[in-house]
Amino acid sequence: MLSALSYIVLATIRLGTPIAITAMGATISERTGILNIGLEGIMSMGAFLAVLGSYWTGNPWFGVLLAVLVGVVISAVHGFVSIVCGGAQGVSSQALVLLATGFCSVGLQAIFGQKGMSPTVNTIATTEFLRPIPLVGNILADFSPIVYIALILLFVCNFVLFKTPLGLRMCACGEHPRAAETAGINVGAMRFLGVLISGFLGGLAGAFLSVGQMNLFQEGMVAGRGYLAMGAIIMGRWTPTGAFAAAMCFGLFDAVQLYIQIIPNSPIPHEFVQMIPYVASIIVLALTIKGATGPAASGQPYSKISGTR
Amino acid sequence: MKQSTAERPPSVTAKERPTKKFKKPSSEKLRAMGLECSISLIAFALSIITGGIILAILGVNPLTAYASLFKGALGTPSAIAGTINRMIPIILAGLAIAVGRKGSVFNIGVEGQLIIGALLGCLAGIYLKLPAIIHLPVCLLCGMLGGMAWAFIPAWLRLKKNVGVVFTTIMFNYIAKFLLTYLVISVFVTSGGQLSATEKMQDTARLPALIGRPYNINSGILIAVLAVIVVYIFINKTKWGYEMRATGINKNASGSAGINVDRNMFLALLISGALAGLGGCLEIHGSVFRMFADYSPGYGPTGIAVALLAKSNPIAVLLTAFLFGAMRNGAALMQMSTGVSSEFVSIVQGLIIIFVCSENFIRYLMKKAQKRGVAHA
Repeated sequence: MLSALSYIVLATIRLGTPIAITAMGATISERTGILNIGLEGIMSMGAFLAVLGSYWTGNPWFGVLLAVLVGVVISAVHGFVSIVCGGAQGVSSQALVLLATGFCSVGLQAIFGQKGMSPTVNTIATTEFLRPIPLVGNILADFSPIVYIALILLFVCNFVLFKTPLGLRMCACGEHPRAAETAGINVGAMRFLGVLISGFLGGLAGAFLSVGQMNLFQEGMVAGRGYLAMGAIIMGRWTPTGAFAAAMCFGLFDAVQLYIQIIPNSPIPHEFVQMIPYVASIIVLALTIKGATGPAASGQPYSKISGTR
Repeated sequence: MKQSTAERPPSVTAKERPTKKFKKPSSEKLRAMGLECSISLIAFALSIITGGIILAILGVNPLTAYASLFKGALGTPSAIAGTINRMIPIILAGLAIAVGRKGSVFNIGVEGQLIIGALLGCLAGIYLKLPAIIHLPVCLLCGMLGGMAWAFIPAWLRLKKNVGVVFTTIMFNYIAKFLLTYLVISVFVTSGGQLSATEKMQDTARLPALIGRPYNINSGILIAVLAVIVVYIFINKTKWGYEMRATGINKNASGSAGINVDRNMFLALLISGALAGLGGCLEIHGSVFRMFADYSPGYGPTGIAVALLAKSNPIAVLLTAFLFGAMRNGAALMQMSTGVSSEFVSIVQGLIIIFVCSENFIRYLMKKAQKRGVAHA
C-alpha cells in the first residue's frame, strides 16, 4: 500500500511538472491578453529540439537550450500574428500545433532517417548533487533538475507577476489594453513579452518530456499535455501558483492511470484507463469553473493595423 | 427617411433582406470579394514558398519535392480520381469548422466527432440488415448522429457550466481515439486474420461508384456537394442561419436584439458535429468499408485550414478542400520518391493558417503600396 502511494506521489511530480511549467507560462501570456493554445505544439517542438541538441553535442543541457530557443521563436510567430496583425488567437495558435507535428515528423525522417521515434540520447534524468543529503537524498536525486527549476520558476513567476511594476503592467494589458496604453504602457511590447515567456516555458517543458524523463523523442509524446495546461490555467484562476497546483492535479490523474496499468489482471480495459486524465480533467474543470473569470481582454486583439485599437 | 436608407452601406442592406433572391452583387461587393480572394491566394503562395524554404533547410530540393507532390495529386487520371476521393471528408470537415465559426464556436473537436461518426456509421453498415435503398441513408444518418452526440457533451457543458468549448472538444478528441481503439480491438474485431479492424460492411451499405474502374470515384462527392449547398442555404437564406451569423459577428449586439446567443452557439456546435460525423462516414462507406483501430486521419486540423482559407464561405470550401485533398493525395508519392514525410502537408497547413490569420498585415502592406502608387502619380 505504501509502495503504491509513493509510486503515485513520485509519478505525480514527474507527470505534473511539464504541465505545470507550461501552465505557468500560459498564465503569464493570458494575463497580458494573449491566448496560446499552441503550447501543445511548442512542447513537442521543444521535446524534438532537445533530443536533437543532445544528439548533436552529447550534452543534454545544450538540447534544453535549443528547446527553449525554439519555443521563443515559434511563440514569436504567434505573437506577430496575434499582436501585430490582430489575428484570431485561438486559430493562429492551432497553426503552431500543425507546424510542430509536421516539422517533428519531417525532421525525424530527414535528420535521423527514422519514423515515429528518434534514437536514444544522453539525458538529464537525475540530479546527482542532491544524493549525499541524508534520508531523502536518493529520492530527491531521482528527479530531473528541471523539476527543481520548475519550483524556482514558480516563485519567480509569482514574484514578477504580482510584486513588480512590470507584472502590474503586464496584467493591465490583459485587463484593459486601452487604459494601459493611456497610462503610457507599451501594450504590444508587454503582450510580446508574455507570449515569449510562455514559449520559453513551453520549450522547457518539452525538453523535460524528452531528455528529462525519457531518452528519446516519440511522435505524439506530448499527448495533450499542452492542452491540459489550458485547463489548469482556468482551474488555477489565472495565477501561477493555482495553475501549478491544478497541473499537479492533472499529473495525479496521469499517475493513477499509469499505476492502474501496471496492476496485473486489472478488470478495466486499458483504453479506458488511458482515458482517465482527459475525462477527469473535464469533470474537475466543470465542477470548479463556477465563478472563474479570466483577464477581461484575454483573447482580444489590440492592434493598430487591424483597427482594433 | 429616404436619405438614411441611401446612406447605408450596400452589404448591410443585403444582409437585412435575406429573403430577396438573385440580387445582382454591386461592384463594391465584387471588389471586396476580389480582395478576399487575392488575400487567400497570397497567403497560399506565401505558405508554399515558406514550406519550400523549410524543405531546403532540411536538405531536400523543394522543386523536386513539389513536382512529385503535384504529379501524385493531379499528374494522371487516377491521381485526380484519388484527389477527388480524398476531398470528400475534407469538404465536410471544412464545412464543420466553417459552420462553427459562423456561430462563433471554434470546434477543434472535428477529429473526434469524425471518428465517432465514422465508427457508428460503419457499425450500422455491418450489423443492420436492411434493404439496399434505405441501408445507406440509415448508415449516414447514424454517422451524423454519432458526430452530433460527440459534440453534445461539450456543447452542453458550454451551455450549462460555461466550460470553454476549445478545451472540452480537444479532450474529447483524445477520448474518441481511445474509445475507438477499445471498441474495435476488444468488441467488434474481425474474426478472420490478424487485422485490428472491424469486419467489412455489407454491400448494401457501401456508396456506389460514380465512375467505376479503373478510377473508382465514389458517389460521396455528390453528397458532399449537396451538403455544401444545404449549408450555404441554411447559413445565408434561413432565419436560423441569420441568427447564427449575427451571433458570430457580434454576440452583444445580437443578444440585445433578442437572439438567444447561447442556444445559437449550442446549435452551431451540434450542426458542426453532425457534418464532421457525415464526413467520417463518407470516407468509410466510400472507400475503406471497415474501421481500423487507429483511424485518425487528421481531417479535423485540415478542416481548420480549409475553412480559414475559404473565409468560412461554404462554396469556397469546395475549392480549398480540393487544394488540400490534392496536397494530401500527392504527399504519398512525394514521400516515396523524395523521402520527405507526408506529414509535410501539416507544415503547409499550419503556414496557411498563420498567413491567413495575419491577413491584416497583408492588407496593410497592400494599402501602403497603393498609397505609394497614388503619391508617385
